[in-house]
Order: sequence, then structure tokens, then C-alpha cells
Amino acid sequence: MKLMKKISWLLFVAFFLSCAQKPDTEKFQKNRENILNVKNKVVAINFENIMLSNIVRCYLLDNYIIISDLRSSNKLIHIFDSTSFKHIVSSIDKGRGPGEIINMGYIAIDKQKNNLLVSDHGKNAVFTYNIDSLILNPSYLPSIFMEMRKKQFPSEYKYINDSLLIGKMIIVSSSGSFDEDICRINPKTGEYKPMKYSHKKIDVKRVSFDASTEDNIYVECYNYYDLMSICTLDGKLKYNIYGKYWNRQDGQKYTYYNAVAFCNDKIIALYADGKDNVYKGNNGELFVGRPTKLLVFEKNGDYVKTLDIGMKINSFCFDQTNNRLILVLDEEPQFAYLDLNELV
Amino acid sequence: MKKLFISIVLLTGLSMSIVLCNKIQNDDYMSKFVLVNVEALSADGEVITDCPNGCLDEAGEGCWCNGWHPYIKEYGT
Repeated sequence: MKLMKKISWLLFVAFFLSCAQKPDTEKFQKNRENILNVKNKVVAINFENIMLSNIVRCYLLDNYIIISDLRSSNKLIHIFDSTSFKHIVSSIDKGRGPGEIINMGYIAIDKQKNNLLVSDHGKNAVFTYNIDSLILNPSYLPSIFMEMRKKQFPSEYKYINDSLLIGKMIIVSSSGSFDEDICRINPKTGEYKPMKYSHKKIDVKRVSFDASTEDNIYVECYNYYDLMSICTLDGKLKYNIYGKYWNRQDGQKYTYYNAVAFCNDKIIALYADGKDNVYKGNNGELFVGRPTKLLVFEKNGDYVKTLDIGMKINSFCFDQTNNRLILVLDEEPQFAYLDLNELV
Repeated sequence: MKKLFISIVLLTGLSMSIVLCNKIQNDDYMSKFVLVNVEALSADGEVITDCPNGCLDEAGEGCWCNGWHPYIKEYGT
């Protein structure tokens, strides 16, 4: 009887210890203090004679930088040489006609075929444009890559092959609000399957993501939570990386991550450090809390360093050929690059 | 009795003025909020009928407001 009592106590203690120990998947990083001020290493890019609006994105394909300008009234994309920044061609007209785009969204890259996959949320389809044909033939017409539903569609996606995309699906509810989920998407059928893992403590999910087929992982960074999750491409959690503001849990009041990308052997994420998401100026005008820092992580989520750009960043893309980041800034200059060779 | 009546009247007046003041502030806030929606949508020429999350005329990760507005900032809840 005494033995039974002892065993019960031992089991109780073992159970208690197992509960108290955090699993290997959970990483808490309260002190990210390896901060490098790199403002003086940011080099302005002058895209000669091209007028661009403030709603632009950049993408890299081979030796080309593709700038998409969502507010342009005529040509929607501009192609530049990624080394000299020389303008090569502006293409794709805004409009409802063949080969034209009504409401341009994300552009995915198919490196093997040198294709751009361009979303049109007006025609509810993704179109394939071959970049060489775009450059050489002004009257080139694209083909349809996939059809999109109006209220369930991918807003961003990574091309894996002709029958698989890893993407961020937008699912609009009847009230007009929407949810986001990282999914495996079949472009041929339009069917999508949410990844198995989702964090239980997330209320409003707004994420930036990137996927790496080489490492068989994807990373999702939360806009309104100090959290980054790394999962396998079949949706199994590898790591949750919590920052110092994880316990805030204040809906959409504060902003944390804004964009993320795999850059060679590192993960680089835009980080707003818990600024107010939107705030009022003295005259009542609204301002957005923009990130000014980039966090560098190992692919297992271990923190490496912080690159303090000291300027407001809208988005960025990784130029693998030149090992540098192309930055889209919310101030002058609008475009700049940061050489990673000596920094990361 | 008279004192009690005066207190009730004063308290009611005070609470009404607080409520009214808040409403004026909210209305002012909402007018700016809707205004930025109009700015965001005018680029696409669409009409606002229902826009629960709201959009700002700023670069962002996308916003739903009678259709998808890629890379426009969502106002949030």
C-alpha cells in the first residue's frame, strides 16, 4: 500500500514537471539586442524617368527587378536590370481588354520557365506572362494560369509546380470581414487545404509568409502578434518564435511583423517593434506605424541580429544574385538597396 | 428631498454631456475614417456600401472593401 502511495506521488511529480517544461517547439526571445545601425549602408536607387505611385511592390526574377505599380493608370509593371537598375521595359496595360489587368494583385515567380504569375482581382484569374516575351513583344498576350473565386482567393502565393501553390488564402465572411490562412492550393481545380497547424491564441490572423522548397518549410509572421511560426510544407509545426510583446494580445492596436523572406541560409523579417498600427497626428490625420528594422534569424528561428535601417520601410524583396535586399521605403528615396555580404 | 432632486438633475446633466461629447468626438473620428475609405476606393472607381474593416489610403498587405484591394492598408478593428 505504501509502495502504491509512493508511485502515485512520483507519477504526480513527473506529470507536474512535464507540464512545467516548455516543448522544444516554443522559443521565447525577450532580448534581441544585437542591433546594427545600417542606415549609412543603405544605397538609394534611382529608377530613371519612371514615375511611380506610393503603392508599389518589388519582385526578382533572374537578373530583372520587377516593380508593380498598383496605382498606375497605364503600364502596371516596370522591368529593370537588377545590377545597373537600368529601365528595360514597362508593360501590361490597365484595362478590361485581352492581356490587360483590371485590378492587379500579387505577382509570383516561376523561375524554371521565366514566368510571372500575375493576379487580377477584377477578372478573378491569375495570368501567366513569360518575361522574355513581355520584353520582346509589346503585343504579347498571356495565358490563364488559374481561376479565382471572388470571396475565396489567394492574395499571395509561392509557385511550387503547375499543380501546387503554397499561398495565403483570403476567406471573406458574409459580414465583409475576412480571415487569412496559409494553404496548399491546387491551381488546376482551385481547391485549397489549410495547413494543419494554427496557433490557438490568435484571434485576428493577418500574416506575411514565405516558403522554401529547398528546406521544405514555410514561415509565417503575424502582423498583430509578436509571433513567427516555422512549419513544414505539409503543415507540421517546427517552431514558434515569441518576441517580448507576445503577452500584449491587443487585437489590431499594435503592429509587429510586416513582411518576411528566406534569404539564402537566413530568414529576414520586417519588424515594427510593437508600434501603434495606426495613430493620429496633431491635426487628426492618420499615420501608419511603419517598421524601420529587419530581424535576421537562422532557419530554426534562432535570433541572429537586428538591422536598424532608420527609415520607414513598406516592403522588400531579396536579390539572390547580388545578395542584397531591395527596399521599398515610405519616404525619400522610395527605393534603396542594402548589401548583405558583410552584414549577414 | 430638494438636495436629492438637485443632485439627480446635476448627475443626469453631467452624464448626458459626457455621452454627447463622446458622440461628437466619435463622429469626427468616423468622418475621417470614411473619408480615407473613399480615397482608397476612388482609385478603383467602386462605390462603398459595406466596409467593416475599413481601408486606408496607404501601402499595406491588402484590404477587403466591396472587393479586394491589394497592398492597401487595412484599418483594423
